[in-house]
Amino acid sequence: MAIRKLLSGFRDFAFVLLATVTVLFFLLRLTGDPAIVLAGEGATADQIQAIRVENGFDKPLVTQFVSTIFRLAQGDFGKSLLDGTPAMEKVLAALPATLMLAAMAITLNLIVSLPLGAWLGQSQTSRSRKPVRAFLSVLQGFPGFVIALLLINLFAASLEWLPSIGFSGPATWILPVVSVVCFLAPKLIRVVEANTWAALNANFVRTARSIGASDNVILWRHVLPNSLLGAVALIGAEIAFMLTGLVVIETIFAWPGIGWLLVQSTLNLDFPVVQAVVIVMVISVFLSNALTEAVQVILDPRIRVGARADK
Amino acid sequence: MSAVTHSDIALDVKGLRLEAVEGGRVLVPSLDLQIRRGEILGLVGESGSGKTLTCFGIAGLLPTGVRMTAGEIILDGQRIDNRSEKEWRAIRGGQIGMIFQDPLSSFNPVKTIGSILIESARRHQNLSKAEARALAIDILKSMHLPGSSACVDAYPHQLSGGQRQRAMIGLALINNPALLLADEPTTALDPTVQLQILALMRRKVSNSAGLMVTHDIAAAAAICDRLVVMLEGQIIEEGPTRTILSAPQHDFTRQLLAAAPIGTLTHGGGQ
Repeated sequence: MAIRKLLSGFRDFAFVLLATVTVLFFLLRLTGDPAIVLAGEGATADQIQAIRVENGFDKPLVTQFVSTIFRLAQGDFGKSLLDGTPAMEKVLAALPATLMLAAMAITLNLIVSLPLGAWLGQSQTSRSRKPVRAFLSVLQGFPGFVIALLLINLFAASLEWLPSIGFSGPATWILPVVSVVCFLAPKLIRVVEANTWAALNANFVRTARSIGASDNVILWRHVLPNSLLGAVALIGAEIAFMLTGLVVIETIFAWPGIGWLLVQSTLNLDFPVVQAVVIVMVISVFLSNALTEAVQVILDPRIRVGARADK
Repeated sequence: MSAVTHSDIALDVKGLRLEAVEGGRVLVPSLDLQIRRGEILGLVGESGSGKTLTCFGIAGLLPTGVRMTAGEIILDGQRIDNRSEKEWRAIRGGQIGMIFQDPLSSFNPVKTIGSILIESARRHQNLSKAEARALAIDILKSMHLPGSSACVDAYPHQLSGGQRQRAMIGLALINNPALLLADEPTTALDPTVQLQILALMRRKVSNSAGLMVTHDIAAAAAICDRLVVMLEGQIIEEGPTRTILSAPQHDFTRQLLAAAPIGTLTHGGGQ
């Protein structure tokens, strides 16, 4: 049973990877001729042609595609057209920065969103919650890059409290992490709030009251596990988003992660590196989805354990 | 009928008045109830008659939007309606056990049956985790749950409706409460299971008092010693079950009796 599930998961993964690489291969070839970029300004037609031949760009597209797939299947991701370092080496060097940003952002996101969402979900009518809800609505309306630019403008440019770019110690981490959290948290808070409100009005809360449980015990021990259950899918989606969607944030803050690498490589038409980044992103998303599913199974006994036979 | 002494009375409700907070609509104008020890009282009426509100009012669990504006609730000779929320928490689950209509949604889907029984036992008795667990298994056993030691670790969805309601009765009785409140305890169950649950409740309430709220006069007749019929927040008829079944005084009571399925009206209470 478990093995069959693993196998089918692996099959899906292989299929998605192949489809992505195929689409990517042809899209990249539409973006331009890397030989011209590589040759630099003032290069002669002969020099450009020489680069084409050297990298195999002169062969028919289908031949190039087949040989690319063949090499990828053997674990050969090619070399950067810029400096000849193996493409995957470049990506793996950039990956820790992205993982670090994602880990810090998701941790802060959970620390902020779970209690705040649970608190908001406790009452639909209280006055003290109104301004918080209004602020979250406004925040949710802002795209991530606008938040990042506003934060840079305020804390780096005007107040000069924090550095705006780079990747050198905790001070440079604050603005990128806060930008990502400002973008992700409102959604998660909303979901936790809605789930908390629904769970608080569920019949099992009345049962908890009937055995004399206090409001706090009810919220933390009976309601939150249920509202967390509904939030797991979104948390998983947010993690997947961070592994692929931090391109803009990383570019704004010159954060040397895979998003930043993707943009640089695309601008340089460095096809092998772009390809390697995308493959790593596909793997990350697949892994985070699998992890989300596993957590859901662990948290929800209705999925984890079946009904008893003597029912 | 023997003389009723003060100590015989488990629950005494005097002039209970319930109003909607907004608009001040009177939902129950003034209600008097008495339940003796060992007795089960059936509170019968149609939806909206105020019977369920009365039941929740006695447990201090009125929904937001409804409040008690007059009257007294006296449990075991002690007035309880004027207690603080903290004191109420000691009463609920300790002196008052409750059973609800839908046993599936009344259990937390992500928690085991045992965990809530253990939580209740430890909240009201000075027990270690292991002692509370042993007590939970014992009480499930006494509810005739098959495989009680496995049931303690089962999730609600793994049990059948009847098993869940047995576990719910076990939860309500785990701290030997003076009063058992049951709100439509059989409405969500199959007819054959209904009778088993009613019989179980009848046996378990022998040394405490029970209040069963239901629109099903046949279910009430099966286990209740006395019936109280409510209509629009007021008691229109009350008396021993036998008397009400054989000689109903009020038109509405006759309608309720006529609506009960043929052959189901058997008085099994107080035997």
